[in-house]
Order: sequence, then C-alpha cells, then structure tokens
Amino acid sequence: MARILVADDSPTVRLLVRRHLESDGHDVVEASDGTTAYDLGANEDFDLAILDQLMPGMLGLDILHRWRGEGIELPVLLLSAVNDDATVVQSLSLGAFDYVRKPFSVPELKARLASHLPR
Amino acid sequence: MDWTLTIGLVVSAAAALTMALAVTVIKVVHGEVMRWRGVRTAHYIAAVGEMVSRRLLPASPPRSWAHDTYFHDVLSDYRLLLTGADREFIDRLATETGVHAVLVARCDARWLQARRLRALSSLVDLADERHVGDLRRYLGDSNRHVRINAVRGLARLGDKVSIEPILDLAAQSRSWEAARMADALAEMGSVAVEPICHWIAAAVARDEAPGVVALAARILGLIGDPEAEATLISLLESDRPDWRLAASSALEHTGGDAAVAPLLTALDDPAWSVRARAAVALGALADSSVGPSLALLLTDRVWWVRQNAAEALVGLPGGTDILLDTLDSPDRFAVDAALNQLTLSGLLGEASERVAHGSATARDQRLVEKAAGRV
Repeated sequence: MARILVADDSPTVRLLVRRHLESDGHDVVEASDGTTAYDLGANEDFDLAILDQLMPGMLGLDILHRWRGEGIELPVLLLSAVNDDATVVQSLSLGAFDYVRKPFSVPELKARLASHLPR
Repeated sequence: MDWTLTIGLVVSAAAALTMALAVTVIKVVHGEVMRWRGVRTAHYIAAVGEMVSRRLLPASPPRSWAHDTYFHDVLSDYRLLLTGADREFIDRLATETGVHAVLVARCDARWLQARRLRALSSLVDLADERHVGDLRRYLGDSNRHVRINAVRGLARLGDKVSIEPILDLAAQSRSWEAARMADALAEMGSVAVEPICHWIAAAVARDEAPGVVALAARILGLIGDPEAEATLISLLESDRPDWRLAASSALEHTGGDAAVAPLLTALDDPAWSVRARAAVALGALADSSVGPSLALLLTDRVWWVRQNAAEALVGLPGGTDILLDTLDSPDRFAVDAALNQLTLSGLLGEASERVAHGSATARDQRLVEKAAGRV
C-alpha cells in the first residue's frame, strides 16, 4: 500500500491519523515539526504527505512551496485549524490537492485521500 | 592557625554542598515528574486513539481514568479535533468513564481554585445538555474566571435561555470580563441573535447598561446575521455616540438595503468615528448609489474619515472614477486621500505597468497622468 508522511506538532493528530491509515494497510512516517517534515519529504520516497499548517520550524505552506520549487511533486493535503480562505486558496494554488479544516471527520479525511492513494 | 576562619570555611562549604545537593534532587524529581506526566498523556492519547479508530468502548474502564486530569485533557483534545461520529464517540466515552461527575464535583469544591478552574475548563469542552444547570449555577460564582468559563460552556452548548442573564452579568463585570463573555456569545452564531436583540431593546427602554448595549451591538456585528439589522438601525439612530459607533461598525457585516438610508444619514454624524465607520459599512454594502455621498466625505476635516471614504469608494462600482475626478479637486486633503487609496489598492501600479508595456487604456493613461501631476 502507500507510504504516507504525517506532519503535525500535535501527537493526538499524528496518532489518530496514523491509527486509521495503518488499519487500512498504509505505512505511516511521522514528523512533529516542519523542518523534519521538509527533510523527510525532500530525501525519502512517499506517495502522499499530510501537512499541518502551523508547525514549529516551518509552516506547512512553506514546506509545500520549497518542495515545489525543488521539483518535488509529492501530493500534499493540508490539514489545519487555520480557517481563513486566503490560506486555503494559497495552498491549493501552490499545488496541494486538498485542504481539510480542523476539527475534521476521519471518514471524510480518508475519502479525500483515497483518490490520491495507489490502489 | 585562625580556628574561626577555618570553621567559617567549613560551614560555608557544607552549606554550598547542601544547596547543590538540594538543587540536584529537585531537578531530578522535577524531571521524573515531567517524564511521568508525558508518559501518562502518551498512554491516554494512544488508548483513546485506538478506541476511536476501532469505535470500541472499554468493557470496564479503570475508575482512575475519570479522576485523572491528563485523561480529561486528552478527551478534550480529541473532542476539539474531531467532528461527526468520532466526536459523538468521545462524548460517549466521557459519559461511560464517569468523567462529567468528577469534573462537576471538582468545580463545586470551594478550595484549590487552580484545580477547580482546570476541571471547569475540561467541563466546558466535554459538557452536554445535562450540565447546563451546573454551568448556569457557575454564572453566580464569586470567582470571575469561573463565571467566564461558565459563559464559554453555555455558549458552546447553545443555551439561548442563558444569553440574557449573561448580558446582565456582563453589565456588572469589568470591561475585560464582559469582552470575554461577548467573544463567547459571538461563537454561538445566529442562534444568539434574537435573545441579544431582545435584551438590547429592554436595556434601551430601561436606559440601563449603556456600555454593554454597545458591546451587544458588536456581538451582533461579529455574528453577521441580517436578522439583527433592525435593532442595529435603531441604535444607529440613538443619541449616544458609542451606540451609533457600535451599530455602524456592526452594520458593515449585517446590513442590507434597509441600512443604506440610516448609514447615509450617519455620514453627517457629529462624531467623526461614526462617520468613518458608516463610510466603511456603506462600502461593504456595495451600493453604487452611495458613491456621491462618500465623495463628499473626501473633504471631511478628519483624516480617518477621508481615508475610509476613499477606501470604500475603491470597492464601489464607479467609485474609482470618483477618486480619479477627485485628483482635480482644489482640496489637497481630498486629493491626498484619493491618491493614497488608488496607490494602496494597486490600481495606480497596475495602470503604470500597462502604460509602460503599451497596453494602457485611456483610463489608465488618465490615472497615471493625474497621479504624476500630483506627486
């Protein structure tokens, strides 16, 4: 199945998303800050990344911007409590395939991920 | 040998050694306590996460969970993070483990205020309809932080009945407490509009709590429901400048066609702050018929009013033409306001670029020439 990077400074979010994705058979790698997430995405192979917007070290949007600038076309979903339209529009225009606002529903998150995961 | 000096040195060395030992012990104990807390929190995060993902409630959860503040924190975390069926599962888990009863008992305790507040903070996140009575009771608590948290909890539960008592309470509170209560009520959204409007009407009739009337108008603006329009218009027509200011600000977000005429009247208000906010509100309503009235405000004696009027005009259909024409005005303050907003909005920059690239329209040319003549 897929190898997924989950980057969020909240252990609750990381664990919850990990539990659900692993129960579907995916391999999950966690990052608790933006710098680690950026390095992992730049140096390892993933099928998809779930990024929080507000993380210590580097913002989710900055990671996405740098990856795209370096030609890393990893599919990204932003999962964030930042709820303003400008951030959503900016993330989609930078190439994120979706933006999910916290609080979120796990079934909805999985449905949004499904179309971007290898079958 | 000076024995006094020797004894002094020995005593000092012993004292320093004892101090160093005490500090080391304290640091080690503190580190262990922090590690133990972290381990316990991680344990709860993992356990609750497992239950949520499997939708399985524990057959007989340990009684200690309900009494553990770290378990409460983790439940609150999950509840704030999730929606839908997952959130309902967390609510069921809180009920099954008996967390609510423990939290209410701690809130009812008269001592250990920090423990009370921590319990109340969790109760605010985890309470359901069964705890409305408890939260209403805490509105009368002697501790102001308890009262504010009770308002947050009641607002989260959408308890309409509590809105008027909360506004009465805000009237007797310090301004920062009232502001916190107002923030909580604004979170309730449209369900709060009718009781707030009713409270405003009663307070105005009784001529009471003028400061909270203005605060209530601001809450209506934050909610942004058109149902509040009539109440806000009545405040805009009052003889109190603070009410008129709050109402004109709120009408920016709630006003419709009926608000246009009173807001136009407010452009002549003796209070400059009301004129400035009325200009912004009219700009937000995007009614092109108000352009000429806003243009008159470009010659207002107050800088803020001129700037707000110019900013409102930028967003109005035909408003840019009014600002362009203003650049020919003999009033240098009006010209300054128009030019400033044409620059800040990016219109002047875009027009300049098109002129430089040879793709300018006649209007671009006119704008750039006029601006160049004024700079």
